[in-house]
Amino acid sequence: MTTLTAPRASGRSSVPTFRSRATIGAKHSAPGALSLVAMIVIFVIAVANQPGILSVYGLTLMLTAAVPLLLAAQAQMLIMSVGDIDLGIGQLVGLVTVIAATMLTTDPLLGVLALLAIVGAYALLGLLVQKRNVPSIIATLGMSFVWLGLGLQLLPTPGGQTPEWLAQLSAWRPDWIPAPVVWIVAITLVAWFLAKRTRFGTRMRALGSSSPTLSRAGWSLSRTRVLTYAAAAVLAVLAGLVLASQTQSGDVNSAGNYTLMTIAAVILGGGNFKGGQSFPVGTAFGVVTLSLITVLLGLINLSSSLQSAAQGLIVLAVLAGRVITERFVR
Amino acid sequence: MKFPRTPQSRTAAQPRTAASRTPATKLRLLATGAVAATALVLTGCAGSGSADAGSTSGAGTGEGLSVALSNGFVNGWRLTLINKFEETAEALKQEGVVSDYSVVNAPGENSATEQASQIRSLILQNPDVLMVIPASSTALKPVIEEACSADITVIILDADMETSCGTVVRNDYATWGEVSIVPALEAIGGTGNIVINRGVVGSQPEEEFYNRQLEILEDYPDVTVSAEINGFCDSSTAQKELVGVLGSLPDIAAVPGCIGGMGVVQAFESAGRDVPVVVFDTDGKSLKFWQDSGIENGSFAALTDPGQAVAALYIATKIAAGEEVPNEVVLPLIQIGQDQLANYADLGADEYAALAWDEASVDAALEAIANGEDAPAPAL
Repeated sequence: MTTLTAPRASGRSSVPTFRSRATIGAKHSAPGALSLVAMIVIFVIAVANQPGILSVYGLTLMLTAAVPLLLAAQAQMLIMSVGDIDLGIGQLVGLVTVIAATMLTTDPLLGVLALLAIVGAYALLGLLVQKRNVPSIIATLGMSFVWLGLGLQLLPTPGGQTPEWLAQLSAWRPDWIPAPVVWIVAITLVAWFLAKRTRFGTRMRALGSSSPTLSRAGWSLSRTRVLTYAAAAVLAVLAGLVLASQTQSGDVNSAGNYTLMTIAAVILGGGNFKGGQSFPVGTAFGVVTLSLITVLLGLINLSSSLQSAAQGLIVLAVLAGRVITERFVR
Repeated sequence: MKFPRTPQSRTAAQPRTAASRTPATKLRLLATGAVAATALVLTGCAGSGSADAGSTSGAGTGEGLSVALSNGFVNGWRLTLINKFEETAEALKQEGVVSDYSVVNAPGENSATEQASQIRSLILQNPDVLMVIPASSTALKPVIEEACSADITVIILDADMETSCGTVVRNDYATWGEVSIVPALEAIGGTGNIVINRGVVGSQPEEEFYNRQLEILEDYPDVTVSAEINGFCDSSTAQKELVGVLGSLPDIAAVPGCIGGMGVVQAFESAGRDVPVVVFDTDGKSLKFWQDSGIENGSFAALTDPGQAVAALYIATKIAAGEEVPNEVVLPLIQIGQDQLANYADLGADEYAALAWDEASVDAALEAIANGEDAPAPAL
């Protein structure tokens, strides 16, 4: 389990002793471990209610919606690891579904260019945040309206038609293993590699925790932030494409709840608002937990008016547990 | 921001919350301080309880149908629909026709993605009949087709959805456009100035609704459209919009369109002008206002029928019994004239008037559709 390995003490001047490494490791992985516990508890309750979940078909049904959310959450995690926050990711994913259902079908080249333009725009956004000291919360919130406007311009009412190859993507359903599980593991591995095993990942965290150190070490702060934003945009675009492949249509409002869901997933999985940390595996646990909560509440016939409240309470319980464990570990 | 984005938005006669609720929900929920552990314990208990219920409601037990209704979002109109559904389902349960029924509202504000995952979990419970009031008439297509392939009888309510499977039960939006304007034009004798009160502009049903209105207006050359307002099928929005333009308007004889009559009347009264012919909502509050205000200028009420869920339930039992039912069942709307107002005196303030469908009237409607005629409404 990667969450249990001690994060490398990057950006710190002194070489950590075994003891401090172990303490830091425990401190950092405890929140992620807790989200794993929460995920397992919720999963067990769900299976107790509906044993059908334990089949390949059941897991496929239950986890399908988690795949695009996970891609978006990993994007959010990258942005949060440099100490920023993205309030526009929901609309961005929505816009990508719109592009997928319109331009990508009618004029594939233009569609691909539009998607690349989004990545470029995000890179510029990173530059703006770095150079002009604009709070990311403002910049991304502002952009969310731009994405919404562009999406409504392209497709005023939900609909459109996604290209055939995109539909094939979610039609892939092997008999022996639930396809979403394969996607979730693959996405998490890629994000884990990017955030934890590359120099770029180390720089991202350093930018979030102590940017002066990074700058003294001779790295460009702008370049790091720009690359982070671009990487996040690539993940968000992928999230939009997967979502479009699942709904086979475009709707700029289809992922509006992603903005806060992704933040909740990152926080559930052990991340924080301060930056300097990245938990790709914890984020995956967070996403699966959130998805399972929706499923679970549907399964237990809870009065529908109470469902949202129960959803919030469960998230709150996990977060409260996290605060308690963190205090205990410290 | 509220953007019209689905057909349901328009049938939504209730005002929607001004702020988009989707992003706010999580934060608000997080703020709900409470003993969170209880939630887990509760879910655990509820879990073991309903596990047995689930096993008895499997498909093909031959002891009545298990019916699940998935709803995209909740407002007053939908709530009436759900209540009617539950009343009828309970009655059918007593008769043994239905073994088990449940209603689940998707969390979030009309979110197709949330509803899709909810429908997936309903598929796992393997009901005999799945009724869906979709949050989107496009995005839910794949998951509805998934339900069909799991051998579930799917009924789509209140939406114009082109699916490869399932039965659509709905009201016709063009017909709604017609019944929302013709009585008003007749009431003013086919001559005078009118203001058109448009619905959720930008949604596809609204287009059908509005185009039909324009078609009808061509037959009334003496009627002048002085203005159009975007009332969003909401009384207070209509009032606000009207107040903004009223000063520049000549004498207005009628304000036909997507309901909102109460707000229209108030706008005219506060400007000290004569009350025109308006279209009231069909909820108890509006009808009482109409009754109390003593408006007798030919004003009327017309809206889609929340009773369609009841009709859909009977249709589901027919499909399950192997009867042939057309893929699309278009049912009549609900229209209330001055003379019928007394029939709705005991309607609750937030309750919407519904047609009283029963097995016989559904049979009659299906027969009419099979003969290529418009389905007749059940008698009062």
